[in-house]
Amino acid sequence: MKRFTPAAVTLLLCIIAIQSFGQNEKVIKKYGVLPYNGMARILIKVPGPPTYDSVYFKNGVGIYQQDKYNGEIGWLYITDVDRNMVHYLILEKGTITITATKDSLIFVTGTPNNDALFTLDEEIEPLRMKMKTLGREVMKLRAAGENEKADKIQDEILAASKIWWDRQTQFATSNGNMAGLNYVNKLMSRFSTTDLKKILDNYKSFADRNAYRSVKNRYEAELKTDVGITPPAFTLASDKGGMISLTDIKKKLTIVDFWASWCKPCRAENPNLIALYNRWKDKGLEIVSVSIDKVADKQKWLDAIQEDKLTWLQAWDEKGTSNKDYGITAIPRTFLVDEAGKIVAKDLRGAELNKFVETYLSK
Amino acid sequence: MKKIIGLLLFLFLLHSGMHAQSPVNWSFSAQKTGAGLYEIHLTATVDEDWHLYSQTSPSGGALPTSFTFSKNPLLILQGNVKEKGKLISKYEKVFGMELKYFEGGVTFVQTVKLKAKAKTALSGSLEYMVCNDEQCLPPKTMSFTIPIQ
Repeated sequence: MKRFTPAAVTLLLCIIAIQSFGQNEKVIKKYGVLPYNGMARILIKVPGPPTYDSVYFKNGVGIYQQDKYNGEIGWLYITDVDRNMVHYLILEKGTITITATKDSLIFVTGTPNNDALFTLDEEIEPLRMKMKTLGREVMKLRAAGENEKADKIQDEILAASKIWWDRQTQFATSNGNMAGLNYVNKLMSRFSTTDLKKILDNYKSFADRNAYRSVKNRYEAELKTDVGITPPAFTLASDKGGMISLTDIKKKLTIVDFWASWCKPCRAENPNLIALYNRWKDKGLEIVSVSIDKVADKQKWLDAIQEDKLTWLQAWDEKGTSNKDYGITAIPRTFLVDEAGKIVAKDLRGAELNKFVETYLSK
Repeated sequence: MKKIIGLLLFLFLLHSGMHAQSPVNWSFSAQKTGAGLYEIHLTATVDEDWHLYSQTSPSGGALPTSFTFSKNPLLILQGNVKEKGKLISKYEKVFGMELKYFEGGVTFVQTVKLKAKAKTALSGSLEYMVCNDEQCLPPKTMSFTIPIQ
């Protein structure tokens, strides 16, 4: 292998420095710099007690010389300006340039993975700001009673949101670098067990980084409820007195739905589940909602069942044992179980769930 | 002995896995604002698109953030915990009420008066939960001990 001469190395470093300088200039030109002078904190996402570093901003630009970590994830936050100014940072060795813009956006450039994040940011940051601006408009319209107009803008937000999520997911699965791995962690709940296996394979050169280990932990927990596996059994109190045992349910297809009275996305699913249940209950569908409401919130659980008009089996995981057995870290989560008691699908919601149930029960 | 090491390793890995995923980070500090007067700052930094609920968010919906302070004969709590952040109010059809939350971050501030010149700390715990549009993390309780002076 040819050795680089000192001159060649210097030239290369100059080119890199100029390139990163160039990108920073590009950001300032396009978005306008926020003339902030002050500190910003960096939370370093490594195990153990919270670890911080800081960077000083001069005229909206912070130069962060990083040589301690070799591919860990950090959060940069500039709370002195705007509490919403939080941004990922890949802590790899080199000179990282951070630019704060007039619209309170943060762009990070200067090292390979941060540059990769930058290309994604250029697409998704404006989308995120658009969703926020439209969100404020929706609130104003609803306060003024203009619900039709508000609904229209809500649709716009949903459309932008879909692109926003899809781009991040694409980035996470196709970028084989730390920037991509950062997004894998962010979007972790969106990946099936099969997806996670592929991801772990793609990113195996990063096996010693914390961002990889967390994916591995998730994958291993998810294996316990993988398709084809018999999920953990449970016998839990029913809302009507008595007990509900998973193994006693002998329907063609059973949806086990983990939720709680305080979980908005869970309860937002209930109207869809009602329609689904009404359509298929006589053709082999059963639903068991498993609530993770705590003992003190028993009445809230019962009230939620009433308010949402739920007519299927309602189980209460008051001790949190099923929560633990199923490796639940966030809700809602669904597990679809066949007549033989094996998982045939999981984490399906809305239209995807409807389609699966229809196909499965129409066989 | 091996079992203990194994367990500790497991717990460490479990913690590291969970740590990497949490969308909220809490940090605590005390700032002197006058003679014997301190402002205790409990700051939450929240990852994008997650919401952390205000103490004033109605209790029938998502869990509002709450604080419990341990009794300390050297400290007098002055007033309630104040919130410094951009409060968002959003009507949630699902709950039939307006939820109040923060995005990005918020600092909760409790003023205390130190009764005597001595090194002490404010201990207690906080409870909170976060949701985004797709999922919620269950309520978490966190203890703190914040040195004063």
